[in-house]
Amino acid sequence: MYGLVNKAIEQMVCRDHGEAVWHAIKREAGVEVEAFVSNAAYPDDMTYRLVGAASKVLQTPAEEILNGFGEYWVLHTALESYGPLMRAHGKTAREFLLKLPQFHARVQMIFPELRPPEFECTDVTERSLVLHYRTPRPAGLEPFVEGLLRGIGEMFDTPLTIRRLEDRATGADHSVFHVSWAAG
Amino acid sequence: MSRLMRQRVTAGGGTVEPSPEGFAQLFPFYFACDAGLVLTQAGPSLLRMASDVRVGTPLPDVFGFKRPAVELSPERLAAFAGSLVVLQHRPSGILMRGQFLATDGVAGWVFLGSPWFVNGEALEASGLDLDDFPPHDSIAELLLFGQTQQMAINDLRLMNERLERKRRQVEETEELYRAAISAANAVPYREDFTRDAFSYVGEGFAKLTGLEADQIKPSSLRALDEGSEDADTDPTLMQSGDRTTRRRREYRFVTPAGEERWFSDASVVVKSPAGTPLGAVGLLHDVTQKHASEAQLRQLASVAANTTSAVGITNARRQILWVNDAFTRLTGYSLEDVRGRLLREVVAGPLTDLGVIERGKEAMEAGQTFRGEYRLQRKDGGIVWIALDIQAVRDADGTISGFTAVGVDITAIKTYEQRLEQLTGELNAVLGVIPDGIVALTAQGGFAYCNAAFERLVGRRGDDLVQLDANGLDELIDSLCVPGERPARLLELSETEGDVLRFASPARTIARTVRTIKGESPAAQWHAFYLRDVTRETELDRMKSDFLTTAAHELRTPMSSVHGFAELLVSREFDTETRRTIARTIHRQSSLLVQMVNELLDLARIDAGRGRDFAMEVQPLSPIVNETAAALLIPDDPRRIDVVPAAGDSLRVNVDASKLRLAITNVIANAYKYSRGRGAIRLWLPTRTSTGRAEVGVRVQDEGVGMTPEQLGRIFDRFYRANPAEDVPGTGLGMTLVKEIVEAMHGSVEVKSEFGRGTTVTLWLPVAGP
Repeated sequence: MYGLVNKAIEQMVCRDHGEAVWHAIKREAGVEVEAFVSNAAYPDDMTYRLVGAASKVLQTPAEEILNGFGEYWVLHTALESYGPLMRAHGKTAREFLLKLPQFHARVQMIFPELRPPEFECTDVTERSLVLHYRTPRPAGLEPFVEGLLRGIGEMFDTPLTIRRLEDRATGADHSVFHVSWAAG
Repeated sequence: MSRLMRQRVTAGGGTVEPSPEGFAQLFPFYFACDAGLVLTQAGPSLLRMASDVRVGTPLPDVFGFKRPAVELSPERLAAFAGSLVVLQHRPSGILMRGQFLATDGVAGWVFLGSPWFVNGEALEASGLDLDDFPPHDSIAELLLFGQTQQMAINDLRLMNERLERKRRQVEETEELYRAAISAANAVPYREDFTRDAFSYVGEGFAKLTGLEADQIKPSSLRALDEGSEDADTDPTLMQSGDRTTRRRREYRFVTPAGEERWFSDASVVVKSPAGTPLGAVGLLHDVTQKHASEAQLRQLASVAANTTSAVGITNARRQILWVNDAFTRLTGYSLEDVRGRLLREVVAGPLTDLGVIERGKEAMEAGQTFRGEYRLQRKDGGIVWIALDIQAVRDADGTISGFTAVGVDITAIKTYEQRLEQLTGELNAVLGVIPDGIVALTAQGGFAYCNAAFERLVGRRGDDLVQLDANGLDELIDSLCVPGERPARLLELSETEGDVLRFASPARTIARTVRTIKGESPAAQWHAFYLRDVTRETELDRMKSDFLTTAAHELRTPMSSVHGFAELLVSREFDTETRRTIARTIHRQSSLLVQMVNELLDLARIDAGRGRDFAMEVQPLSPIVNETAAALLIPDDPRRIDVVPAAGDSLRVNVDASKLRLAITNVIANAYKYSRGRGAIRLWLPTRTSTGRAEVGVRVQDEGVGMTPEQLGRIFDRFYRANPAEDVPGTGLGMTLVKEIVEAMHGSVEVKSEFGRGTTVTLWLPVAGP
């Protein structure tokens, strides 16, 4: 996993619970990395362990943590790191979602070692679309994706309604989300 | 469609010719100009980016060459056609990266390129977004890459900050450890088990051991260790999977100079991953002083535990940490009863004087030694008095670390003291009321005590007298005595004889005696001096002696006369007339004797009774006076008393009428005797107010011989006669008797006299009513 992801987890925990809790989570996860390098690749397992340890230390379900983290990722990590570039990708949540596949294609170009997820938009209307989410990683990151989508909605002041249509956890080959928003 | 739009692209063996819209989509920032560099076409994104780009506008007005740095002209443009060039949009400064190509057919140029941004902010500022760029343009990747590079720089900066913070922490920790080690007077070391050698020793090792690290093996250093090792396993290190043993031991070491030292050796054993001990790191600490102190402390503790005095030890907050068995015996409280309680709460109950408690508290707060007597209620309710010595215990740096309290049972002493105090109080009360002066000196002559009578006697206050020793008191007594007299020194005074002092002013006679109060040793003896004012007794003795001499003399004169004439009658024969003359003389002298004896008896009775035997009665004064005057007949003197009416004629007095008659008779008789037929004798009753009291007088006035002032001064002396002539009979007791009678009736006698002119005597009596 991209170091920026682990760094984002660290920033979120430190912001909400303080450095001592972060160190406790790192100890719990057995992670001895002092500081994550944003553009370096880290084992996926490390990210999963950090999320698991955060769930244990904060006594919060992992899904909830991933959900919150997805939102934090968009509104803080991504905006702080790629703010202008993200804004250049669209002026509305709909535009941004439609360009999500293209954005990830570009990220893949820059970081060949990264295995970014693949998004596809179908059934696009003025007030909804269907988002297909494919990833080579094990199932379980869907709450993170839902958090990301909610963060995108907040970024454009457009509350999004997200419904999971298909889930890898229930045997589907990829997860599918129905995303809708109010007219405006 | 212009020729420009028909640019052909050869791909594989075929030709692809995009439509004009397709071309614009592929190169949305393109523009074309003619050979004179006038703009003829522009892509849609360029038009959005630069509103000044319009067909017909000279290209140099809108763009200039950035690279190459030459002026944009047809010739220069032709020279760089096909090469990478960078244009700069003049108004916005935006750079355009691309190349010029010559157009087919029509002479002119077409520019294929796009704006060049190196960060997202610049893109955002240009008003463009990624939709303005064709998908094949790598601007988005470039920006992403640039942003990623920025992130990497930020990461490095963050990492650097963290490293810097860590470095500071390490430095601080190191400094802290160094300070701690230095403060603990400890020497760090590292030893290698395999070689039994020190691989590192800190500063001070040689000073501590007297040897360099390579001169002694760790095993030799600990050769005198008597198995004091205290090993355990560090639980924090166990958590990380390592098993590291901590060791702490104290052992004796003899330096090459023969000096014995005690070391405290605390170390951590370092093991291989397989668990094999490789060596140890530790701290060596000189605890010789501590060892000596502990040994001393053990001795002191033994003494404290076994002493018969009650001993308590507190911490700096005065909470009891330990008490000995004697404390328990004295107070009834065991260590368990009092541990942690404030010393004050235990020893200073409600029975102890509040001042003692307060002074004890203040002394302890100030870290001063305090001694106080506490009245303590035992656990069983009994009362004991303890004398408590409290001392602060201080650390080497002077900080109070606690207090020790040593108490002794003084209950018996306090009981005796109270009894003694009571007795002393009683004695002082007695000595305070007796009229005789008492002063006590120690064997060494120091002042010990004096009573109030002594203070009055010498006219000094006790506060002044305590400053004096025997010499000072001698000087004081000398100063009070009649000039020229030097009485015996106090400490030389004979116990059997004593002496008599004569004080000058006021004149007093003091009888002085001394008694020695035996002590346990000669030095503990006391001398008590007893000074008694015997002025009155001495005077009475003198008066008695004078009286007897005078009385004997006065009685002998008529007695001799009686005896002489009687002897003549017995021994010789006389004619009748002579015998009659002798008999009359004998009769006259014997009458005088009888009168003298009667008056002496009257005086004796009045002196003895002090008027208590007087038959006092309130009655009119005038009848008593008139009757007395009328009854008095003086032989051979025809004069009558001239009774003059006066203010007091109607007044009443409280008197013994018979005694008053006697007094008035004496006064009138004197008036007759000392005026011998000349002048008038007047009698009247004047009145006056004296010191607020109404008085009436019996005044007798003659015109006789009168008296000189000296004679007048002695008129009341017994047997004194102003005119002792033979022809004026008298005993010299008359006026004394008058005075005694009048004073017994609360009156007074007033005598006025002028030599040769006469005398006036007034007997003043208090008025008892109209």
